[in-house]
Amino acid sequence: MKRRKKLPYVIIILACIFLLIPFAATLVYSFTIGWTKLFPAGWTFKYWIQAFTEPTLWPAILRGVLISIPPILICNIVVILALYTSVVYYPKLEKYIQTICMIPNSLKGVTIAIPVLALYAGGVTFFSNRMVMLVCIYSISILPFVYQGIRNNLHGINVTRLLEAAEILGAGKLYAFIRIILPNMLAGILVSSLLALSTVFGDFAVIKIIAGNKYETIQMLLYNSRLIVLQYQCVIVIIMFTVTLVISQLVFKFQNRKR
Amino acid sequence: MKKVRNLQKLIPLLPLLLLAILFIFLPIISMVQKSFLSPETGAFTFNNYKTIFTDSVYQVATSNSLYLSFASTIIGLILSFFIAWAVNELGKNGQSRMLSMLNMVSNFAGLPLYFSFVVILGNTGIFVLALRAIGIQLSTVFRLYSIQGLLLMFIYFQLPLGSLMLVPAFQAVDSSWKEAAEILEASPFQFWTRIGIPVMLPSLLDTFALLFANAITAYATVLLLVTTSIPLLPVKITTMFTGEMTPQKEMGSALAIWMIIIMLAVICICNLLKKLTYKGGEQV
Repeated sequence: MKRRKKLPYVIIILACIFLLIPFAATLVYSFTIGWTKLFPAGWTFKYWIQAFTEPTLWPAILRGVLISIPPILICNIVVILALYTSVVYYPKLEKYIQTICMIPNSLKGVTIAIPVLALYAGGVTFFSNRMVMLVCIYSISILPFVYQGIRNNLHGINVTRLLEAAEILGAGKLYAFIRIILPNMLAGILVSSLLALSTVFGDFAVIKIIAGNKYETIQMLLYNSRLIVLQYQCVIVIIMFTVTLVISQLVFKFQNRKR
Repeated sequence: MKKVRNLQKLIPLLPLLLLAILFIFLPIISMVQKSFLSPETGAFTFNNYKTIFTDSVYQVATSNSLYLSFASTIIGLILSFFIAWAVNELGKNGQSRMLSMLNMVSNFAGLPLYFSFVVILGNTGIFVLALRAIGIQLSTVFRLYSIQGLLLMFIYFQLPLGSLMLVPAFQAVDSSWKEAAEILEASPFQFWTRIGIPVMLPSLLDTFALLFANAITAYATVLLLVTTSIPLLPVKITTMFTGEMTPQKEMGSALAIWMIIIMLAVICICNLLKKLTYKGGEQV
């Protein structure tokens, strides 16, 4: 009996070691002058100072966040419209909406960016603009998160009952939607939008394929710095990781507040 | 009149449909079409697909991608199974701490992951040099710039995802079943092989499909590591559209469709198995 109790802890400790080593090593390495023996040759803040004083870092972080805003808006609006209509008028259609929204779970990154690029690039249509392509591809990539957030919300607040109550009290459907349903969904929308933000922020494949060097997010900055010293790349990696960590902490906070 | 009103109500569904058509269905359909065109004449041909199966470059890329995806998914799934089991055995505090750790690590993929692995296991990685300092040559048994190196990185990014997906599945295995099985003198091994795993099978199959799709499309992690020495499908496809050489759109299209077919086949098989093994009761 006692042996059985120990096994979970052994597994957890081994998993933690394996999963945290790359991260810990990157953090430590970013402070070293060089590391060619058993221990580092010396310590320095040089690369951190270099990263933060260069004019490229902050705009790159900002670009990553900025490019996620239009997709988040588009995706939320599109999914709310579709799901709300189906929940209120056509419950049978919800199945199909779910199928569409779950496609990007498997078709992602390369498999979505390459077909779009091949179809629209080099043309003269509105979609040939690289930024438009980028925004639309991201809108597709974040569909699963946004869909799940909004669906859970719509089912959680019992829309049909709320609408009935509002109508009895003389409110129109649109009025009820804007004044009652939407405010009730805000917390959920916020959570799924933050998840979407961290997906876009962590994307490299789509940005590399569609925009190349024309839109340097922090991912592209890291890619372009591949020939500079490794310590500098470590600094960028840690910064990126910190940003994602902040976003996921926010998600956690809002999720708990909702309960 | 009533019909018109009903149709009007469908208008809010249009934006989603339009987005999906313009940026999922049309691009894929056009890619399928392009994959059957001859690069020289623009006429209909099966040659692009024939090339995939006969040209050694594409054969190697396919088998590398298949090997890495299957191996990392299977190993990742098995290890995730044990991690998720262990997480479930922890107390409430330990559980939530572990879950947030897994969540945190699951963000650690792509380029950052590549650079981290270079730091520890690259040619001048700290593990490699530290081991050399005490007289052990790691490069004789393991090199990061090889298919084993890639496999290690793939397993690394599969673990947190797999574990996070399987923890809820373990929670669905009722502890009263375990007690019932114990009373009937079933060993823990018997319990898991006869009851636990069959109950969890739908979740395991879902996780398998997700991990596989994740592995076969992995691009950022492998881009800087492999370039030419280890051809892989995503990198090969991308260079055919965006590389410095003249784009090979028709051949690239065929290769992209080929990769999508492999991925969809695995997902379909998983779904089919799920349906076949589904024995009623509540789905976990």
